[in-house]
Amino acid sequence: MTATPAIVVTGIGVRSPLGSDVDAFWQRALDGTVATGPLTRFDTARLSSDRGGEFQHAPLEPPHGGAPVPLAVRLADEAAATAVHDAGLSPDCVAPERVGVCIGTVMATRPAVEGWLASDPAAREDPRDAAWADPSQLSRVPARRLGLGGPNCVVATGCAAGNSALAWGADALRAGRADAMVVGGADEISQAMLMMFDSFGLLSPDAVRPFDRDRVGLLLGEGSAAFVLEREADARARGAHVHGRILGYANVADAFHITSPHPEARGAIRAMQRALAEADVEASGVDHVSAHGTGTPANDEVEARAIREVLGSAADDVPVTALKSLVGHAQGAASAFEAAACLLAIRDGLVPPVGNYETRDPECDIDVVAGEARATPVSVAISNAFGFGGNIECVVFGAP
Amino acid sequence: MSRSPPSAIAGCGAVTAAELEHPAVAELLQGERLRTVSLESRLLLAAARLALRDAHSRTHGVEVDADELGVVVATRHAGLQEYVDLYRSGTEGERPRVRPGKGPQTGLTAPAAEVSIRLPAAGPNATVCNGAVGGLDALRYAADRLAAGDASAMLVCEVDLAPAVMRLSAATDGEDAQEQRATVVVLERTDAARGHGGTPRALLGAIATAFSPSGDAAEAEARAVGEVLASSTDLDADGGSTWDGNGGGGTLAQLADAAASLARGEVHGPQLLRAHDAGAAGAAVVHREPEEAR
Amino acid sequence: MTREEVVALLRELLGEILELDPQELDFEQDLIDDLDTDSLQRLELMTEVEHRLDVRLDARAWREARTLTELTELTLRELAESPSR
Repeated sequence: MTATPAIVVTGIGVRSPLGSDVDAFWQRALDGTVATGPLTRFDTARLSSDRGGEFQHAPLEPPHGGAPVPLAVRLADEAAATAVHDAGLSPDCVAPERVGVCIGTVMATRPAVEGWLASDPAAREDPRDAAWADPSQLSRVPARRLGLGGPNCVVATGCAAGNSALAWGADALRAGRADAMVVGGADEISQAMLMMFDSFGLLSPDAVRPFDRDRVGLLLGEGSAAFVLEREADARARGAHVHGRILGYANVADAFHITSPHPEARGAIRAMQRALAEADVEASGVDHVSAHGTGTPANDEVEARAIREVLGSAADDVPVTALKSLVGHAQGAASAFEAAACLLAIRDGLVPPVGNYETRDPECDIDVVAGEARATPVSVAISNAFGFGGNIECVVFGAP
Repeated sequence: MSRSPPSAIAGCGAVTAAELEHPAVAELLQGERLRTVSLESRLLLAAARLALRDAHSRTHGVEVDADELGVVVATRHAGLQEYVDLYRSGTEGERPRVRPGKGPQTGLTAPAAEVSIRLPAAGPNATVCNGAVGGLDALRYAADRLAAGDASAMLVCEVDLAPAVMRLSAATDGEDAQEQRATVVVLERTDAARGHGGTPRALLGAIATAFSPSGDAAEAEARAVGEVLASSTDLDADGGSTWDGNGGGGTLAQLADAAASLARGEVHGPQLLRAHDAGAAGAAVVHREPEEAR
Repeated sequence: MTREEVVALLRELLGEILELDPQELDFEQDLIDDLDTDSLQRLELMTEVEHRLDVRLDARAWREARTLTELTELTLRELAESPSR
């Protein structure tokens, strides 16, 4: 049987509330900078919270005129372009029809329907032509701009979508369907999602406190992160800089409830175990866990249970971070941001702190990085992403 | 050269919105609490049960463990109307409010989640959006998961209804008259299907998708078809035919029809399915099991 | 609002949510173990009551209640403490 080709990351691009330059994003994460704050684009008068992780830096408008392009599309487009530039990918080294794009998302272009609904009915564009009617724009617009003709799709696997896109890209490379894949996640905050989470009583009034005893809920965030994936042999052959590896990944369904996680973390445990098994990594070999860590009472307790179950006694000393404490829950972009942070943690041997963490919850018996960044060698990191409705995707990252 | 691993189309099921009230279909949803569940999810759940029954009838009673059963859904509009309704309910009227039960249905991933929870199916779970080609992406994802041993069977689903919000246009054309239907295909590894003595409807061969950055869908389709044909040189090409994935019902529906026609002996040889939209294109081959393998 | 009216409202709303004949609901049955409600359904019941009665309920107390009788008491207590309607 042919060995499965090793997959490496050769490019990273980020558009986030923590910044749009990878180094700035990372430094602020290490500093524990909390980028959530008062929302400026939404009506929060009837909501229990006026906070979120808005993308503060205006993304570039598309060069052509025409109908407004949804924010999520612009962010995906920019992050993808940055990743491709970072990877030094060009038609000279990889044929454009052999480079695909896969973007993960929760809502894709759907939030743009809000502006459409609020507009004068007489002036509305035909819905069949509207961006909000075509979620594929999230991956097609970057592909058009970059001239990429390989496999192209959007994976809409809820809050696990960023990780799903990484896995999708790795699959394509392993099967030889492409020679490089631009993958990532993107989403924007919407009035509908603010209202939905508020209806669940899950919005935090002020900040996100993953694993903290006094956590009460999440805040929504937005942005995009993108990566270039290649087979390692190809990347090394063209002299590309390798940020890190994708050692393994696993996707399972909790198959329990449309909003609540399985109380015994059944799906989370299976996904983490399968991802580690595929990566050929024992529990004792895990150096860092990037938690899904939404800051909701249910998710964090269940996730901590899963981490403890999978890592066993090793969990005492495996630093856990939760980036959503700093940027909010950026939905499809969340696990993409977290993937970037894992790769950088591996590079620098530093794990960002969990923001707003003050009081240990005895039900969350894990090693939460609190206060300041932890210096510790990281060769293997596992990133958890648990989607609404029970879609779970875990990705294991390794050193270059 | 890319090649999809061998997998078998073990069963198929399809349900239209009009059929949801028929006793035979209603029976498939009996006992389910569906008050807040979208039409897409209900159609998909019914179609999934039909497809599993079809596969079950061909597998001499072999059941698939829930942990080994995965779901992948291709869709463009799942949850769109629910999103619009939620937004309106929360912003319009004298006392705007959002009902919590309606929220989860606003997402593209809701149908895949509902099917996984209610069957149950705790294997891999994904939702993919790729215009008219998504059904082929879903098939390929399912084939990848089977080849990797992540599942014993995958439910490959396609559902694309015409949400009310998109029917504001006064124009009438074929697109607006799209049949409201969900299609599910049960995919199994070929060796597993043979192992339990089953008779798959057909075998799934190569699948390819491509994208045209310049919008030349014909060019993208030519590439996808070329890739599929190059991967299918070992198939006996006699009597093969072509299916238009842009035909009624969606790409997966056309593929299911091709598989059914093969199973009934109405067509012979490799059946090539091709589909495209404004930018993406795809192709796939289904064929009968070689005589010596049966 | 009288106790009987609150009982009738809870019966109607939960019957609708659970897709059951409202008259079949036993107010002493456990909401989780006997009536098989999930957290989302109990939350929906609470928001419906809040909307219908224009009252704000104690979400934590609502989550911890195990029978319709307890929910009735919670609702009546809140109505008594709210400005008269």
